[in-house]
Amino acid sequence: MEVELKFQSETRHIEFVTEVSDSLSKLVGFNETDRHRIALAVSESVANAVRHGNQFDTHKEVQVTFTATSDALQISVSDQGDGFDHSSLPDPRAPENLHKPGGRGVFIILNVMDSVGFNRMDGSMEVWMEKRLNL
Amino acid sequence: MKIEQRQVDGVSILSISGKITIGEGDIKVREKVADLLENGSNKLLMDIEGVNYIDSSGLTELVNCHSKTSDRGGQLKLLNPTPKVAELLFVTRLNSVFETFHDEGDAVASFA
Repeated sequence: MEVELKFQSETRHIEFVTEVSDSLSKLVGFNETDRHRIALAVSESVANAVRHGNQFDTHKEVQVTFTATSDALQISVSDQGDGFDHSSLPDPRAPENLHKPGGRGVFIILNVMDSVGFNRMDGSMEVWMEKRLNL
Repeated sequence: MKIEQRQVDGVSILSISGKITIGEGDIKVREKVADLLENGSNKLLMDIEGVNYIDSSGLTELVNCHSKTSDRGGQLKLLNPTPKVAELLFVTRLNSVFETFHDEGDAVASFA
């Protein structure tokens, strides 16, 4: 099953997207802990797309595509921003960064999902992620 | 998201329930802590047993509140994080920033 959502760059849409994420996670058969992890990763990536990617420009869209299979949920989150190089992001766990306010979103996504990819294209940025059922 | 406040032995206990997320609970937490610090309270204990969801923006607010409280010569500690929140504190190593308790009496006594 594939579900595609497109919406303006506003954080108020995050709750709806995480509700869709939770419904699809249930459908695949994830337990409550993994459903929470997936919703968190989706929420973080959409928040990044709205805030850092599209910079709250409501003329720009965020697109989220969920692909549910029998044993996994794949999610793609795209924005219309300039993108970023995830490998250059500082480690928020480093002692010098621990007390800094931000910089944890991508790190959390990388930690709670099984696979995460970043595709920087001309005029857009896609974060792709997957969670697999532990059968 | 709801915050209830009470005072025990000079410690301001904030019982928070609901979500601390971008645009939802993060600003309420910030305003409540700023208000307490403004009024001279700097022994702050956040009871987050009722927080069922926190994201990186929520963590950012907790870190900001911790820093502002320290700047005022005070301390901000956490009480009763749920396993989900505790996992996030562990993954981000913020468990090394926040002193965390599972018993209110022990937490209050630690401010003495």
